[in-house]
Amino acid sequence: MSQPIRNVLIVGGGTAGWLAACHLAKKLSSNSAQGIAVTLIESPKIPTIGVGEGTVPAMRQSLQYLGISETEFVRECDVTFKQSIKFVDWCKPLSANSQHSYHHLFDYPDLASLDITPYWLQGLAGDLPYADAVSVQSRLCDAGLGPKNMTHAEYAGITNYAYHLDAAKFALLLTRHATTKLGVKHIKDLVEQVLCDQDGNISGVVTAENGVLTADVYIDCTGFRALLIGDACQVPFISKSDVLFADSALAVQVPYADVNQAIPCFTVSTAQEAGWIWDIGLSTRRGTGYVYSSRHTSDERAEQVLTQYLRGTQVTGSIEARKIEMQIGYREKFWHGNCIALGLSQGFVEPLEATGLLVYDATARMLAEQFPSHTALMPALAQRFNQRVRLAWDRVIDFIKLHYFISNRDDSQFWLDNRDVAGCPTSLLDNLAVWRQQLPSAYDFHSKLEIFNLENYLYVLYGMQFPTDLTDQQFRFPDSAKAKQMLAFYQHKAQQLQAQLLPHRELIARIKHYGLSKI
Amino acid sequence: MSLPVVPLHKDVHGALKLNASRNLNEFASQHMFPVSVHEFVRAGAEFPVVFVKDAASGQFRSVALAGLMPNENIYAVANVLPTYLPLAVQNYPMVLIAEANVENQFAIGINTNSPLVQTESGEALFTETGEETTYLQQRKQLLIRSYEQLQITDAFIQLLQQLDLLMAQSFTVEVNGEVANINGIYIINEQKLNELSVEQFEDLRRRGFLPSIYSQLTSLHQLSRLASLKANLRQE
Repeated sequence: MSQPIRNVLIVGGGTAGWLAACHLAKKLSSNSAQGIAVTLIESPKIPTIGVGEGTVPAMRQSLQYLGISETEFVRECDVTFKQSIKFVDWCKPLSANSQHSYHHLFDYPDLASLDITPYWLQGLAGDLPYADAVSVQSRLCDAGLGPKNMTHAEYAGITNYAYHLDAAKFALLLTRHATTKLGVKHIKDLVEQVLCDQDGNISGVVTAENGVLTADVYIDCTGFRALLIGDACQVPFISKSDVLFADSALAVQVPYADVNQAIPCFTVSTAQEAGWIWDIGLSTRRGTGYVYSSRHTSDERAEQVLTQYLRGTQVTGSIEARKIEMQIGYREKFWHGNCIALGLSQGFVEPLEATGLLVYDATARMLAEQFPSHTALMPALAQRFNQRVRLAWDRVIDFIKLHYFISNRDDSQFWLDNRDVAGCPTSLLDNLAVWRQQLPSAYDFHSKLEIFNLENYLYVLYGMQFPTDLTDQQFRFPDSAKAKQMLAFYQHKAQQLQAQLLPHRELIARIKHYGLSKI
Repeated sequence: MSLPVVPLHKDVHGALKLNASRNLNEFASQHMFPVSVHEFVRAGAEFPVVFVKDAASGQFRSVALAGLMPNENIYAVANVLPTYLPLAVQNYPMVLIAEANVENQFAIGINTNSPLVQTESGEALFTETGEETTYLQQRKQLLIRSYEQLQITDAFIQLLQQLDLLMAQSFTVEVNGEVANINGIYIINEQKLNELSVEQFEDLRRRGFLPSIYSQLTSLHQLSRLASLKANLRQE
């Protein structure tokens, strides 16, 4: 018999758990008497992974939607702004003393006015990097400037931006917001056992101090442990380590060399012999780490590589990195019966494009939006949810693989294996076959819910000098005059903006001091 | 207001005489003047009184507009005598200088480059024995009052923000057929004002802010007066 759904139990805190709690409570009016009750149980004894420090602009929309003050967020979570990911050394050096690098910007190219790409490919912009040809943002990034100035309201800016944040502090902010504003009930206790009924639904969780807790719907935010979706519901994990090789990380927090050191307004991702190193500047410290393939290198060697990188960026003193083992792939189903997995229990790939928080935030929003009103609706909604989330992960995996597959690096087995067709998903191979002779098009990204779209591909493909050959197709592109105008416009506009915008560190300092207004 | 401002000292400035500001002519390239909430009623009878954000801090300030675009002071160019001079202008060329690292400690500063500072005509600041004249004491008191009023104004603006009573408003002004857009201006949201609870509204009344709030709203009509002043200027 179909019953109205009245309550949800989220098992596990951390960023994913609290994001899910906020989205559900906001959408389901948990702070009103008639709303659906959302409870989150977390054990103070179980540490969170707490490494995810990069976000994409969708997070900005989520925070605003959830009613969190951007000023408080900046002040409390050591936040800095992120306008791009700068990929360094993902291709061979251009010359003996010039590293390869490119920006994957958050400002999308203005394709509605004119797609400059074919003109850029034909050499209209000379040696200008692709990102510089289609946007002002790469120049602002390289000039060390923030995305907004003090007269911008919260969540508004001149360029599109996301954040770098301290994951542990962010979880605390979300906890406070969820419990004081959105009506989420918080239980600090250890889940000792998960109970299932004969249909494979979860019938309760046994806690150390609060007895058995029951709910209509259970959300698994227990991280890689996957207590509910894995251990209890027995939903298998599908490994993708044959496509994405990086399965280990050494993470380390390092101080700034001095308190006035400029903070990059972008994440730096520097490719290495068996993976890549992330480098994120928060307001109080840097967060860095080496993500690598354990099949291609040893932990000892990885530590050497990370140390060498940090020594090259003015870090002195001892480096005590934390080792994290990652399960690469996703669950066969994300919604099984009355159990839904969000966060690491759902799936994970190397955080090259800040996909962790991105996918968890997107799926939490999706779940909140389509949350079943009655139990009878659950099978149909579960099926849709599973299809969509599976597609999202597959598309994410394609996009991450792209960064490796089109590289020209051949200096280690890691890169040679990455460029091998055997490890490349067919969907990506098919796209690349077309794009060798034809421009990527919005029609290649037909699902409205894709996480990475045409614009993201353009930045990576042409940042990495992907050879789309249009030589016999020039008649299709008669707008060189307009393309030239746009190139000149971006250059001029960037100069104008450079005079208006503050250095990133100064912007953060002023926001902490004065705050941003809501309007 | 234009620099340089130096601390006032009897040894250096003993012989100076000061004249009162009577117009805005000295500020030909300044299009807005800070006004305190206490001045809204009188300033609003002459100028549009609005809120703008300080570029460096993003904090709201209340100002009277004397021009329709940056660097334009229609009163100065047209040599029009306003019926009310903002306190900041009345104080000029004297200002308070905050003491570094000490809260609420100020020195008196003076811009000696101002034509209002003379040696022949005007009111003496110091007696022959180096004592402060009554005139200087009055001017100092005006400075202090002005400072106190700005403190209250900051609290007033904070309250408006807490009550969500400020909103961005762009204006389109036509001068001799030319249309100009004025952006970056914030005003009081009349609809939100009307939607306040009885308690919230009563609080504003009790604190004496209601006349200022309504003066700000009615002062917006001065925009068209400013535009016609500018139009007349062009035709001359």
